[in-house]
Amino acid sequence: MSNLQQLRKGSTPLLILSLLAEEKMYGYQIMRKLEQRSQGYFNMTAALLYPALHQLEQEELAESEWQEGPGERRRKYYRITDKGRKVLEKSEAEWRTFVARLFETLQPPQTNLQECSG
Amino acid sequence: MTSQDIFSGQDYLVQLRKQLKGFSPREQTVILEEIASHIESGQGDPSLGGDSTERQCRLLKELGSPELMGKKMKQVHRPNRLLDLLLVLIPALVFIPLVSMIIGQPNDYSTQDPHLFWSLRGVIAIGGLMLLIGWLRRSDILLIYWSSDVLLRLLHLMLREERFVIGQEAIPNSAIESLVWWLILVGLAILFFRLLWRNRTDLALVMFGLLPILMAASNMGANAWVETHTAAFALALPDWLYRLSRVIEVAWLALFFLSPRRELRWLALELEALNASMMNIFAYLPDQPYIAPAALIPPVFVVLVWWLDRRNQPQAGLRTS
Repeated sequence: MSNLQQLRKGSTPLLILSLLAEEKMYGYQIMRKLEQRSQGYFNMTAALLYPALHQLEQEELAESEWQEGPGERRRKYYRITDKGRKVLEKSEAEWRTFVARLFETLQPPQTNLQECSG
Repeated sequence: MTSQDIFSGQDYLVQLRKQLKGFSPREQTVILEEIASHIESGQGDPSLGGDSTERQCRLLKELGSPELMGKKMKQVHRPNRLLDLLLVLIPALVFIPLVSMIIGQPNDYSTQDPHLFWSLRGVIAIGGLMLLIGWLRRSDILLIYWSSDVLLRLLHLMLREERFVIGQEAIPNSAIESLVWWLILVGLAILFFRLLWRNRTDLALVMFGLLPILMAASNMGANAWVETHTAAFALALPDWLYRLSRVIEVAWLALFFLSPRRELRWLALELEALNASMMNIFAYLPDQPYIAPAALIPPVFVVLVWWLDRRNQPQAGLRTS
């Protein structure tokens, strides 16, 4: 798995929880919203999305309920739990720190010419 | 049919169902219904394409392979149970007998016997530790096994010591100790039934939790009836039967924990139920042949619940339009 794929995989729970923090959603809706918000950058398949949703539910970060949909079938809606909100806040803070430190490290240090000449 | 032959949402669901074979019928139904709902949403979404063929193609591409979905679902719902199996076998086969060896064998099994007194408490403490490990691992199967084990041992302790013993003088524990045992018993019973309720869609797992209790109840009932109504007593069982019983106890646990196939897990439960029945029947035959029907209650019950489980098959046609 490439580094980029690993990063994307690691950010999946954060992305899903951030959407659920706004409103309850069903799986297809989450997929479409994620694609729209990221302008196509995050376009995970259902094969990855639904197991991730089930994992969040098992960890009690999200909960689900079935509701009647407009079509023939009912839909399974997910909403974030209080525990999920706390984890989301913590994860967001960790990612912000990570990205900030990463770019600080990548940026070459500004050298002071006067100090160098002594 | 392979992933490359998937031309419709219905094909996808058929393939996915094959990947979910180790799941309970209800779990399969829930997962398949959710994916069918996803497919229906996609087929009705104009943003996926102008005509239905284009939408279908894009939808199938976005679904990902059913093999991958099945694999990921198994990782979530059916994690590797080898470590869980070891966390059952090692304490049961090593630690608990070690405690008994250190404390010493009970002399007369009366309520006054100090070896039995400490042995029961030592074994309950080990069970409590395993419950903690099960909670840390977030493993329901471990929690169910150890909570039913500790519950039964607690009941054994309290039957002997809390004035419920039939025909024997009970040791009056201090009021505080009695209260502590009662609180632990009630708390554990609540935990146990909550676990069973949480996993109610998986009847095999529910049976796994209830079977030891059912076997203990059947055993106690048979013993109590025989002891109070007749002069008969349990025959001393031959060594080979005890050894066979121990082998079966390990085999059924390994089969239940490790087998990916649902039918084999049910077979494992039936094996354990028959194992217990065999011991009872051998112990009381030929003197009390009418014990045999009572001793067969656990295996018959397992078959009944298995039949109920099979009836809850996922809908043959989770049809998509």
